[in-house]
Amino acid sequence: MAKPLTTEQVGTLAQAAGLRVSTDDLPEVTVRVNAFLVGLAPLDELPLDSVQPIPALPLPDEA
Amino acid sequence: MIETDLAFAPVTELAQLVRERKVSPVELVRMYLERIDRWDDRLHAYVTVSREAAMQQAKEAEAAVTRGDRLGPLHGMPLAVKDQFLTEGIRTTNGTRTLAAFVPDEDATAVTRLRGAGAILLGKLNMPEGGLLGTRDWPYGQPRNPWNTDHDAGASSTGGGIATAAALCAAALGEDTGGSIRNPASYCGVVGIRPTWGRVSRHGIMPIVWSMDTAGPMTRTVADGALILRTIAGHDPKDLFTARLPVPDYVAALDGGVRGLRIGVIREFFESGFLDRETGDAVRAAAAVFGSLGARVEDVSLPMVLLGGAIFCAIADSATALQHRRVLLTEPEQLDAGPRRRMLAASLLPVALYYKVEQARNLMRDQVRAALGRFDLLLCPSAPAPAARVDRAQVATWTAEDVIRFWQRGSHTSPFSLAAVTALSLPCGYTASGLPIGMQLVGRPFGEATVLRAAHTYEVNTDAHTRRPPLS
Repeated sequence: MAKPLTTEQVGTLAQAAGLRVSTDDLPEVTVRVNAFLVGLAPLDELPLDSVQPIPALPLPDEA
Repeated sequence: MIETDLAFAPVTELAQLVRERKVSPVELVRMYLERIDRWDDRLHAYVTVSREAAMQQAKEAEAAVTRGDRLGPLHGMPLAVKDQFLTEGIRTTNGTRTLAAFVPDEDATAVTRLRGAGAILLGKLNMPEGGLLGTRDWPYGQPRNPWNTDHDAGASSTGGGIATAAALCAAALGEDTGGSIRNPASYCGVVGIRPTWGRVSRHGIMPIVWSMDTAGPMTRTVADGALILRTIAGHDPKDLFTARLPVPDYVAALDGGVRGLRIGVIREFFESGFLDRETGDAVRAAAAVFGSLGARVEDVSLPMVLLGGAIFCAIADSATALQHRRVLLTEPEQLDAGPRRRMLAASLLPVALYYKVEQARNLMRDQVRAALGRFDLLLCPSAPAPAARVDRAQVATWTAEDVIRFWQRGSHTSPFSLAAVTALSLPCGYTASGLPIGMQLVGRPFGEATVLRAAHTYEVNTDAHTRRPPLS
């Protein structure tokens, strides 16, 4: 698994995205970004190759 | 009937009393306003109480009874609505400071339908900022659980859980994206229904996730939920994603029992390692009740459910970041730290990861729906534990453990939002310290009638719903 992102790296990412992240917010934003990367890592083990990313299925009367 | 009994009476009973002229809508509205005055400074269920308008509507409702007009099924019923729904002439904050002065010029469709059935709008109910859980400094007051005011009341239809449990209204209208009706219903000991996405119009609901937002009732009995759902459900030309399927008579469908129903108890929640013992015992005991009533109950495995919280939050936090993008870019300090940090983090996720999350959602949907092919209903705890203490959510900076705990909680409700099926939370017991425990019944898409029938059967054969919060 890749090393966790540092606060400096997350701050740089935010700057590139045009987001203002205060020094108060940066530690928790970093925790949250890393939590997503770790928490969603198990998705790599799932058989997703043939799965379509469909947010909502057609409703039954429209199918 | 003494006034406290009247305040806690189900809508079905109150509506009958109004029709029989044994109680007037004015009396009911006055009674609930007095209870709001007495308790809400402590509980903070309401953002706005529309006192004068409610009394005026009550007088008109009373006049209609006196004239012998044909009365709607909710005639004279004082209801309250989450502050995420547009309400004509009544401010709608969506829980944010930035909308503190916003007064819509139209009602959400669900509100229109409630009014059309005769309901009286008491006011707007508290919620976390923008519907995102994790709010630290609540703009409209820190909500508290009526069963123990040191504890939180769940979210995001927070005020709906409190006001219904504490009888500060006859019933409430909530909104559920990833569990926002079911979680506060569970924590506050009331019934909360998430209808199938597409069953109830989203028109006039401030959006969180377009493909999961849905409106639903929060009530003290299952029958009340059936009555309100029957009122608000159905196609709406203003929402392209409402189904044209006919709306069943959910009230008529309540009787019939559970004999022969196949109920699958979702094993992963009981093997997670983070399920509270009292919660697990209460839900297992509820499963045994269904068995004793003739249902065929057995365990079922849904391997992906515990990933539901992380998958849901990746989608919901990204969507909300987009909804609030202008504020997030220009004046982020206007947003509370909790939702703001959630949105900022989601804004930095790789697009490829988001794509993978949407694929995983589809796989989750397949698993849930496959299980519902083998079972009529699924059963699980509505939350891994009862309501936590208020101060636990108010720490200045969340750690990774806080985030993971938060996702674990979400994993109990969000898989069924991701799968676009229907689910209901109802009380099934209490901890030794007196906090409510909720169980969740999950049904097939547009299978609300079966879910309601099973929940009603459980309710009339048990007594968890008869307890009242110890307000004093």
